Amino acid sequence: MEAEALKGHLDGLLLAVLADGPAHGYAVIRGLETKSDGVFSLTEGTVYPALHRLEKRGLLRSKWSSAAGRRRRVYALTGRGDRAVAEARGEWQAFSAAIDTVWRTACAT
Amino acid sequence: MRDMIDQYLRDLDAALVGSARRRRRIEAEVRDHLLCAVEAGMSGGEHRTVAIDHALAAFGTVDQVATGFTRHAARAGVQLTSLLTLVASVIYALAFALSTQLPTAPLGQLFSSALAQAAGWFAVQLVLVCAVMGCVEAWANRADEDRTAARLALQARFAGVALLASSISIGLALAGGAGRSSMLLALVVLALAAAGGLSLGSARRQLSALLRLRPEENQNVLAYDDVAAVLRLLTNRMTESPLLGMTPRRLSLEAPALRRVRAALSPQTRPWRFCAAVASAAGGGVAIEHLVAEGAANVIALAAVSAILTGMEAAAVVLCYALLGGRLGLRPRPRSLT
Repeated sequence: MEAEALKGHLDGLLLAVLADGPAHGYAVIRGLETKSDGVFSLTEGTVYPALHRLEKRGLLRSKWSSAAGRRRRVYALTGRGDRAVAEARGEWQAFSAAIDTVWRTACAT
Repeated sequence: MRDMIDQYLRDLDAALVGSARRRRRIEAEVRDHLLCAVEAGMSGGEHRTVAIDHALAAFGTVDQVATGFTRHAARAGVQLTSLLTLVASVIYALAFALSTQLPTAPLGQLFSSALAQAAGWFAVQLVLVCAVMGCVEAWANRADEDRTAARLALQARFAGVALLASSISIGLALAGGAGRSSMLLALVVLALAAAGGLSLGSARRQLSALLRLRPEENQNVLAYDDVAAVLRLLTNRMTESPLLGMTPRRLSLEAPALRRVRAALSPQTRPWRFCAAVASAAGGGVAIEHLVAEGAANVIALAAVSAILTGMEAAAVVLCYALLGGRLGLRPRPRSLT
């Protein structure tokens, strides 16, 4: 799926992936790809600015760890991030239910 | 083959803006990501060279990645530096006003020369206008990814001219025989100007990054349009207020008349008429100030003084327009002949 189609949803999706637990950037991207059955395959380098932005907004925190002899930045949800995930999930469910209703009506006519 | 990854990281580092610490963090994160991707590719049976190629292709070009990082940093930087510039500008204006109003101060009067004062006040006005406009623009576009960076660049240009004028003002004051005791005051004013300059320099760096990202916006933006945009924003905000909504609504009903006035006084199409209007308004204001301060004892003398002041203002406006009009976005630059 094109990145343009995900515009406005990427932040929520990244938070949703990190709701499973702390992960580094590469794992977040693979997690997004796996959870979407390969539909969300982004230009990977564009995900990092989004992670930095979410950290700046206080929804994520990050710290260095070490793996395979190299430094690795691991991201985790903050308390605010947890609440943001719950809010985003509720909003998306309402939104997708409305869209679904419209499509079902269109198909029925 | 890690050379390809190293080269990519060097190119990315060159394209990024921000502190060395931030760039080091990005470099470490990107390196880890690419090496993870290469390892995953190789464990899937790919040759190392192919795995590196795939990892770099999936990560995106240097421009794509740098754009994402730079846009976020530049927007945040512009907002912060706009605010800092405004704070520094207000303190600077207050310090300058105080320095001209304390003739019996123990430090002596720095800006006793009329020329030095005129240059100083010119600087103060420009500094305040561009600082306020910069803040309004940054605030109004805080959530807008596609904000017009060229407008902020224009305001930064105004502030640059203001700082130059303040330096000239202090130079004139010192060359004009300001006492040695005034040196301390001069240093204070210069320090404040430098503080504004530092925040301005930072803003300029961020703006340059934004302009690099969207060269199509680096066009001939005019200050007049910038003022109109800020006024539009303020009017929209006022219209949302039930108490203050009447006047802007009435104004919006008269928009065709306002458009006619704008066309008649446009600095782009009627530059000299625009100069005359500004000069008349400025001269009239100075004359009224003179009338209030000195009283209307002699009408002929008052008329003569008003005419002289208006003439002086006109000369100053025309001179500024001729020398700085293009630089400050008051008139379009000449079209290229090619």
